[in-house]
Amino acid sequence: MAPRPALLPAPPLASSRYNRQLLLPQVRVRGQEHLLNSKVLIIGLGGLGSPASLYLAGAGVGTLGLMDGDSVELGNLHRQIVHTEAAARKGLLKVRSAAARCKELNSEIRYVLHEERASADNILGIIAQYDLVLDCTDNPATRYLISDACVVLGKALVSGAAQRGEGMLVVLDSPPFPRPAAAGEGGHDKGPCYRCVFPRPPPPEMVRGCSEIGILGPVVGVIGTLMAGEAIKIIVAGCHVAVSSTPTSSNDSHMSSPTSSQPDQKPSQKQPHHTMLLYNTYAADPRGMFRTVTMRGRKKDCLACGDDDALARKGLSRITADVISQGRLDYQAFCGVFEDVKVLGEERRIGAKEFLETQTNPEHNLLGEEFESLREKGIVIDVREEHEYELGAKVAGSLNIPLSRILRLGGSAFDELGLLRRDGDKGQISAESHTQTTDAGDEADGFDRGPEQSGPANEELNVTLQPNGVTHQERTQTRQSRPPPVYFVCPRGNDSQIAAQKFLERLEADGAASQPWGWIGDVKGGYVALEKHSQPQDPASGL
Amino acid sequence: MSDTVTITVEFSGGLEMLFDHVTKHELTLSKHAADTDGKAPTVGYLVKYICDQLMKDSRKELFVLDGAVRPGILVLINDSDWELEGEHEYELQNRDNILFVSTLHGG
Ligand SMILES: [Zn+2]
Repeated sequence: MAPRPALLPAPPLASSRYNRQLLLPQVRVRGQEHLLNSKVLIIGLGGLGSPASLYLAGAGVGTLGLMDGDSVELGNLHRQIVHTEAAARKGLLKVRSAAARCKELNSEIRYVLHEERASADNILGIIAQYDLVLDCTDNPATRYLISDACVVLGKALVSGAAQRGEGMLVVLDSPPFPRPAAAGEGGHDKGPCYRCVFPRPPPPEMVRGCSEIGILGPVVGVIGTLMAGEAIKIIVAGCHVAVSSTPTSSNDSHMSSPTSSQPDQKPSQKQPHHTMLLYNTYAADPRGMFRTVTMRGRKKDCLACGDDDALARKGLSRITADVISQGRLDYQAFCGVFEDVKVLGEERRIGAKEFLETQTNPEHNLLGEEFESLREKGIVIDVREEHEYELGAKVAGSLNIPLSRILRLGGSAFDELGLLRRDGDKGQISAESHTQTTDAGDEADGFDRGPEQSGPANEELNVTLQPNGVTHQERTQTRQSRPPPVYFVCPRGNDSQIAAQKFLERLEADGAASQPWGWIGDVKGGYVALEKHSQPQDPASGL
Repeated sequence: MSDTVTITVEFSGGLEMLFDHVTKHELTLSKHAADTDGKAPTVGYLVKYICDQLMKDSRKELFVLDGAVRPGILVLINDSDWELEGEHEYELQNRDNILFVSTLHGG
């Protein structure tokens, strides 16, 4: 027998590509082994999934599952940085594009591609193949679905979200099982699920996608990066797998608070704090850009993760695997569908095509009569928000009065129209006068003006919507013609109805005896419909 | 003892749109307001006050629904879920920070 060597070699992993991360005392060789043995699923390869997939691939997660049914688009690359222009040009599926890029970063791990959207049919079968899930999706219905599936299957869930300049991050179902009291350590309950934190979804009108309201790349990128960080912490500490198999070291809690040691081994009173991180890049006070807030714990009567006796007491039945897979829970209906507003009667609505004709073919206007230019085209009030109006197609000569302003000021938001009407009589309204309707009392509309100036900024100017300063005589001097119609227009024909209704209420309040307006109503289907009908066509064909 | 409580109220997650895009508000509430009985006003009172006084936007249902803060809004009292602090009944104290944040769902 050869003599035992005096110098034992370092474990191979120590000198591996993962050396720099396993140097951390919290990781070490053992933590890296956990990572290499772990299976992580990322659902959604957008702004959150982009950095998350790259970092988890780099960290050496053994199996990285990527799930998404969408294709890469150029307009998303400002934040979806795992993808490439080439992938966008080819219209590649996001999972393929992301996997290719991750492989360039780390070819030593296994990638599993799920080229489909998360649904009740596929979610359980797919999540079951993994230890931990990252929810990088973009809508509430899918978030509830993923959370329920994770609870049913006992998987920890790292959940992130971002829109505009804000993001949030929360670790759910963690630990996925109650941890029994061990020697020198109190046990603790399993963590809350998405339903515990958000028992009911927000109303559908508050749910607008990033493509509508915008998102800053670095903001969603920070949240996606933090999600990867949380996933790594959970896995390294062995908290992603059911108890017993991994006696964990002292740094087993990925949550901030350490469990207290109680000699009597009764379950500890002190549960780990469940926290949520809020990030607001435009925080009014920059010291509040990142906030970690303390969240409620698990709800004993939660439909997904609650206790049997608490649910039974309330006569509630639990969401089980069968309930999900048999489609007995309609997640879309639970989260609601944004229904079209029905405020105006049909007689106050004009189709997009007919409206365009009033704007382009004076002789075929709504009323079939000949007016001078303004009369025919009427007044077009665009109720999109200021920045939306700026960025969108617009009706020539339209006036922008944002809905938020109308809802804030009520009828007085229309004061400007009194002036416009008068100017119109003088023929001064040009095709390009997209007047921003800011009155003296309402400066810096749309910007944070700080607490000092938040007082009542908008006073009733008490202007009636009569032609201001125009005498009766002047009015009769203008050619005998019908008063101009007022058309309200918005993205989809919902806000425009609300705005038109407010306008009508204002007129009624003013006393409509001699009101100077003709037909008042909105354009059905808004810009979506207008753009469909405004394709260049043979001018005769529409008649 | 002062007759008023001064607190900071913040809105985020898109809720600020209902408040003229102002995210941070300093509010001074009287302890003798109609329904506070000379006691410190509660968060429940604050919610009503915000709805009636602070909010100019008419879409009240995007903040309060059926008399309660609408689903999807987290209420944080000094950075702690209001459920841990007594919800509506929490009595406001000077310099308290109340944050209303609407859930984000984009990704
Ligand atoms: Zn739950």
